[in-house]
Amino acid sequence: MTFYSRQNAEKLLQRNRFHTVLAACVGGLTLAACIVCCCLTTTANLPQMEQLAIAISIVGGWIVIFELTARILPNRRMARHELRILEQEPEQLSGRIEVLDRRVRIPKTIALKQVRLHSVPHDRLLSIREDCVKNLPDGQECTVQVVGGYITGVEEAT
Amino acid sequence: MKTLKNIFSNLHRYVLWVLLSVLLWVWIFSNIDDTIPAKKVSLFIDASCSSRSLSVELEKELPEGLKMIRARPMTYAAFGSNSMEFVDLYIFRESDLKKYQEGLMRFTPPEGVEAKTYVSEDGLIYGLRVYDAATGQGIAKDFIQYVQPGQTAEDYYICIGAKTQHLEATWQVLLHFLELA
Repeated sequence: MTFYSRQNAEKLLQRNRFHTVLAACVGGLTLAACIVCCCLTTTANLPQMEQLAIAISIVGGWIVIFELTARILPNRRMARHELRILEQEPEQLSGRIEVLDRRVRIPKTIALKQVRLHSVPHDRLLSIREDCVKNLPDGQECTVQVVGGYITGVEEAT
Repeated sequence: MKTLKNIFSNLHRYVLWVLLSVLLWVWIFSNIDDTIPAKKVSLFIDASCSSRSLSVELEKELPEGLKMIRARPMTYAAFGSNSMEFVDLYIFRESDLKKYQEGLMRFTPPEGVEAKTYVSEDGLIYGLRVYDAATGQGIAKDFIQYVQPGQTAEDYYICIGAKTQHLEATWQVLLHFLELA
């Protein structure tokens, strides 16, 4: 089983394009609505229009921040990570897998978990994407594909 | 769960956006709500007032060439160093008239207004009474609270600023103000 594929990276990039367009639309509509509020302002309705513009701006901005921090940036990081890994040739390592209860998060990158591979002649400390940990046969013998310290696939020993 | 986690880890960004939005739109709308002295008639009132309602009422007869009429409480002057300088109309209490009379324009009474309603010094007219403390009669009482709680009632006078940039329009606004109930 491989955790990295070009299709997956492309799917992420495609999804990212959708969320970028969505965020841009929300941002644009928010700005347009606020400009309309400014244009419709008269002496009598100014306080109401001001409050409306503030409310629209806050909600629109929140949606854009959410899209950016929860969708666009994580997707982009994940896609770049996948493409970088796929560019390299994996090495095969065999041994017993031990998933460590250690979470690693390098700022502005993807969330990782650390794994110890008990093998001969020495143990190796490897990393795996947090969402792929469930696919690892914890405590069992297996063969893993590794690129630059990242586990990119696993084959259980038969 | 993941979504909530993300929201909480970026909470500072959401809060910062609220502050930025409020500051930005308050600044924009305060600019929309104002214009250069040449394009507006401003009325500063030395009493509590419903400034927006009064502005709306006065704007019902907006003189040609003007964009707005702004009634403001006198405390508004604290927000700008030259706010007081280019004011077109003032409403002062009698005890403050002497203090400000340097910056007031002398004028002849408009037709139909009795002479006794003017404050005069050395034969010069610079104020028109809009509130009579003895009888409690006043103009635009719905908008201006002439009698402050805990203070002695005083007569109030409307005056024209010496540096008004559009005397004709200021006169029109003054006459419209005098027509208010």
